[in-house]
Amino acid sequence: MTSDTENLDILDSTALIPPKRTTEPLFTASSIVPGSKVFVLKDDNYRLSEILAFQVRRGKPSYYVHYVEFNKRLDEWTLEENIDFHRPLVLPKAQSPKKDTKKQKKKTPASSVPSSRSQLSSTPVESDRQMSVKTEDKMDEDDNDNGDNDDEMDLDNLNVQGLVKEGEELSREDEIKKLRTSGSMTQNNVNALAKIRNFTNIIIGNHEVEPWYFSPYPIEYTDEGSLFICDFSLQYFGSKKQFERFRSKCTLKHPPGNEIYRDEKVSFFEIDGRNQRTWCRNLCLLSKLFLDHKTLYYDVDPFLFYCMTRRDELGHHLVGYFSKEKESADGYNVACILTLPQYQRHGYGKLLIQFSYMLSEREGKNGSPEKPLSDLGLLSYRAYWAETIAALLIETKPAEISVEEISQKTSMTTTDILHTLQTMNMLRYYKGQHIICITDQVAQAHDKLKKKKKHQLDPKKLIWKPPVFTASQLRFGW
Amino acid sequence: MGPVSNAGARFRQRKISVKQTLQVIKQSDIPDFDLEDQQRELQHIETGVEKGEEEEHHLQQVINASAAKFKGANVKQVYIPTPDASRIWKEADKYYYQKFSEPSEYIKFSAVVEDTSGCQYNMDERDDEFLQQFNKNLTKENQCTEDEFEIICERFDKIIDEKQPFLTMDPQQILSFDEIKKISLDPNSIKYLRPNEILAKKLNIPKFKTLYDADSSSGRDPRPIDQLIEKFGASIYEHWKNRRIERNGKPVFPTLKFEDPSQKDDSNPYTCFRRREFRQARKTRRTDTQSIHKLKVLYTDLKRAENLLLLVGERELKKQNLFEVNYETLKLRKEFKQLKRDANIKIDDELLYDKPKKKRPPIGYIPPPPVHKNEEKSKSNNKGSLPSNNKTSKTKIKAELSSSGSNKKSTSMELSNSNAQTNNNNNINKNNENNISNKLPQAVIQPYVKLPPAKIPDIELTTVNTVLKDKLEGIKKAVSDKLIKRKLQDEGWINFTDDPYNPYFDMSLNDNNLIEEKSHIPYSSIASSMFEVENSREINFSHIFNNNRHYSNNDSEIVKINFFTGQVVKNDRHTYLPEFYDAVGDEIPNTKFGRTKSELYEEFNEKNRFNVSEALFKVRKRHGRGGRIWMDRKRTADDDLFEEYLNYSDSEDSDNDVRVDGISTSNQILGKGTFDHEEKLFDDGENIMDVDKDDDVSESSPVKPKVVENSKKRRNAYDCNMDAKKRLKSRFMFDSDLPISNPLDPSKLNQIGKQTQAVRFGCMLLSKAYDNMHQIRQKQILHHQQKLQQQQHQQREQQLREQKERERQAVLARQNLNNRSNLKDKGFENGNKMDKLSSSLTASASTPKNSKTPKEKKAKKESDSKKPKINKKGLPKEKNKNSMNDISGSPSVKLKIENSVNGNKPATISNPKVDKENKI
Repeated sequence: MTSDTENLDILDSTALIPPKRTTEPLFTASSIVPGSKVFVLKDDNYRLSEILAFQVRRGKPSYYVHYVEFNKRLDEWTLEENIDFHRPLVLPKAQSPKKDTKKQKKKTPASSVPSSRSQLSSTPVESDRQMSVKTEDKMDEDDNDNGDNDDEMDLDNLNVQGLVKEGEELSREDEIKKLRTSGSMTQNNVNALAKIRNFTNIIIGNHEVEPWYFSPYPIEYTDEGSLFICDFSLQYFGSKKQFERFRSKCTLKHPPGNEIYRDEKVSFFEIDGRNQRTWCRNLCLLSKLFLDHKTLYYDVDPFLFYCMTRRDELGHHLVGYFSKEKESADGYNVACILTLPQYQRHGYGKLLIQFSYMLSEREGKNGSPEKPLSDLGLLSYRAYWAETIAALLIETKPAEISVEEISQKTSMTTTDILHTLQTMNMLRYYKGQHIICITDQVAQAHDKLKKKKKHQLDPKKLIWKPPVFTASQLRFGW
Repeated sequence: MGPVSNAGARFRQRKISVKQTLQVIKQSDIPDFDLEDQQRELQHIETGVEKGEEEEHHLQQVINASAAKFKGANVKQVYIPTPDASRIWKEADKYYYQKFSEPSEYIKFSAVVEDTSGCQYNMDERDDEFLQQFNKNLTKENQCTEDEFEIICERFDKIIDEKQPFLTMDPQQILSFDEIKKISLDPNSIKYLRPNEILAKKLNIPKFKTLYDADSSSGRDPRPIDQLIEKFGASIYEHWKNRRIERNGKPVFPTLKFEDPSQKDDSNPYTCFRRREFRQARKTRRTDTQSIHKLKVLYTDLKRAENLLLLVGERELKKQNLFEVNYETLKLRKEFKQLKRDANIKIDDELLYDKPKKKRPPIGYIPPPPVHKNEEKSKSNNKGSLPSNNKTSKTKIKAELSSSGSNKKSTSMELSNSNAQTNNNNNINKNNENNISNKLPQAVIQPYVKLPPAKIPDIELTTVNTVLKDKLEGIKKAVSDKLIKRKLQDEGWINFTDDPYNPYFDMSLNDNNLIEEKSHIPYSSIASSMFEVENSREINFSHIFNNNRHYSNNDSEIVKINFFTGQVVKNDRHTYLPEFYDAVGDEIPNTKFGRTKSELYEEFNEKNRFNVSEALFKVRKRHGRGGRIWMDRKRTADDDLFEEYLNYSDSEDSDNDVRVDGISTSNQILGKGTFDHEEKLFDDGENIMDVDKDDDVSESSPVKPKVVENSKKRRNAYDCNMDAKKRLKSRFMFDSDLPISNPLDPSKLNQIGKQTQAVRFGCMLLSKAYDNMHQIRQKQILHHQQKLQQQQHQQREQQLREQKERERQAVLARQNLNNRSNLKDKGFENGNKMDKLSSSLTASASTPKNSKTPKEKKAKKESDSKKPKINKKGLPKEKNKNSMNDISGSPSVKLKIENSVNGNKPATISNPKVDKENKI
């Protein structure tokens, strides 16, 4: 991603707003090399896009493009005719060998970040925000070391735990070293090949789903039109005949673990990555199709997988899942979390998040999801946090409450709570004191939500004890 | 707000403590709240999304929209666009058709994907094409089904994976069909089988399906692999080999790309699920050996588990067989019944029903040898009661008792028991044979089943515990055998050491050596054998003192008392109660033995003299329900330590109380009551037997009917299951384990059981108590006699004086004679009153024999005749009696002092004063 921003440097500050078309074509197709940026027609608009790959598909030259400032999931193959040859082509900057040096690291945030942000002028808060961003950047450098008091928190500098700050990107080696001991997330330094979505269509259950990201299913299958995935065992096949044969023999009808929660709508299964290696690998391969930052670099042993299913007469269909480290050094209660796309926007994500906090509550711990969050993840979590805090404050009507008490009642971390209070505009300063203000908007939103009567999980139906692992069970070398 | 103050406010606002309580206020409650000001202060909030992505267009849209919403702006809901996932795949029904039934409980599941998906080879379109070609020219019977094709290919793959893991180096090296066939058909190889196939093979049963196996899609079960390879192997091999070589030796179907240690660069994005390497702990020889040991243990454990599973499988097969046989039987019976009906044959229906099954003893159970009565008796006498399963009835025991004790008893008893005895003698021989035949298996059978030696690892299964236990068992058995033997030899002789009522140590309390430290008292067999004592009631002594017959003999030293019944045995006691200890210690020459018992115990006392306190308990015997005999005991003095000890088991005390309450008179009334658990324990226990014997005697002696009536409240304090078990257990523990026994500990003498010893000891204590009582009584009686004599003497003197006066004044004043005779009458009256008072005070029937005044006799008769009436009235009166007993039974030391005061008084106080006292 850093390369994106670097390249943007070269462009004019108005680059995202398409420049005027020239009458004459400015370049030819042959001059387009991977990494160069062109304007590509997307939804009736020309957007600055990065060309990532070139391929002749069905006899036509096709380009794999990434639309700048769009999520990677919207990357796609586009035909040559969509490329605007009348707008300038930006060739990739020669990869500087000094990229990994320390100098570069320090320089990058100062120069590139504000400039990129300044180009976003669509919202009224922009100027304020930018100001604070600047201060934040300064503070980052100032009190990085002493900013971590025990219970004192700097409202301006609520660092999100585990998130790599700009200018502190890890080298690939460091990243992998970090992964070896824990975590399932990596973001940078991905191979160019992995930037390109390698499947166009998967068939899972009775759904046809377009994958979002690259996933390391066997490379041989990428040639096939569709990938057939068994709804229960998550086994994958390129051949329909094979899939048919497999389905005739497969008797699995639910995730292969113990059911720990069941209500009228959904069930949850707990699956140990060590015991169900095949299934969990299949699950990870599948979820990688929809999670950009997920890594499959290491095996699934150190994770527990909590799978949410929906029942019908055929069995328990996987709706979503979250993985959780058996022992998280950073206090994460979720590693990866995903609602399968075919079930998205039905409120399942919130159930998954709720369940993850239910488990934390049973464990008697606070928890937070592993960072970085995806855009959708952030929105889901923010919604959940906001709803939970609003419900707590409005329904129990405390005269006063500390952040820690909220944390105890919700199993959320204090940082997450403060963040949420801030985003909800509830943390105010009144007569020389901090107060929590239940704004009319929050109260309204809460009422509205209550009327909707969304499905809620019932903690009483959770039959679960936190699993305990011995040291040797947690050692994942074979 | 000025910029400076604003900055100050902002500065303070920066920090917030999570522990600080924050007021929660509704916006509507603070109307003066400056919303705009706050808004200006809103800063950028970190999201947790990667910085580069945070700026993404759609995300910003949504974030801004929601932020605006929280500030009160009315914004439309915005979404982040995602690729399409809404299309429905119409063909799904073709592939998902197996129905699922929801269990009511939460699902528990541990099978892996491979277990639940059958054959791991899934044929694709090319295979399908080949197979169709292949089957074209074959009849339906000979065709190869898809399942079968897959099974063959799976086998090929497995063998290659095993034998040629590096086939990719040179695909042409692939094993030929003959080689593969040879390996595949090797009957000893189970490597390539699925678990259920392995199990089937080991159990020698045809292949079976598991819950995870789907029904065959072709509608017929695949034939065995050996057949298939013979039949189709060659042609399928060619097809399969070509595909495999085409894939450069890799499996026909692609697999995930795992890490390849040979490749330096592992940046290939398709490589996934690497192992996590961990820094190796330092390798030392010690850790190596530890690891090897661990592996070995693990291996044996797994082997054992496997073995166990196989055995379970075998058992299930047997069960299946059983069911099949049962079914067959049922069918045959049905036919038989029909036939029977048709032919109108009338025979017994016995063949149509299963006989009720005998309860099978659990594995390792050793049937107890049938214990003969005599043997049982000897065991119980010598070793204490063993837990015996025999439920011999009460009457049997009585018979036994009388028979075994017959030698000691009077000739009249002998007659009645001789039959039983001869029976016993006859049975002994048989019994010995039985014993021998029963003992043999007992020694051989071991409690665990031996596994075939090939299948157990070379690990010793015996533990120290079992060895010790075996040893102990052996010793016990040897001892009991010896005892039985001895009993047989002793037949017809009296076991003197076994005599339960003859303690061998001095019970008398030396007045000079009063026991000062009472806490040492528990050091006695009674204390150490944890007897339960019933608190609320105590022994009834009243009958002893009411019955003046005891004192008919002038010589008080000779009086003997049965301590349980309170019955006085007198001189003739040895005729039918030879084993009764002579409490007062008179020497009764017994011609049967060289020395008298008293001689023996005198000799014993010389050697082992130690002081024993006075009676600590009052003991009482009574009949319980079901003809049981109860022994009650109550402490006579308060002692905290003792109290604590005695109240050891409250629950059982109360249990006993309940039983005591309702009892009114005798055996017949309560004969129906059942206390099975007690019966078991005490049928062979000596307490009951001894007491029984005693009781029998008292009942059989027609001379003392009253005594029997008086004994109705007695109960056996030793009737306690838990205690009996404890005693039994501790006995075995300590008797066998303690090498050094205290020579003074009575329970260690003569190998007498604690129970026996305790009974004896209790008797001794009681006898002591009685002894004291008796002495007091004697002294009181003497005192009365003295008084009476003095009175008589006085009267006589008075009379003499009067006579003299009369003689002197006879001539002088004849008119005064009437007055003087009145005076004489008064004197007699005084004497009577005094007698009555004394008798009521002591609550006994004892009156001096030499008091021959007719009025006294009359009073005595009255009290005798009254006594039974009172008894019949039942409980309320009895309480009175008890209270009286309390007086009589209170510590005799106190009484003694009183006694001595009383005894000393008459000598010093003049006659008129005594008269006065008596009147008061």
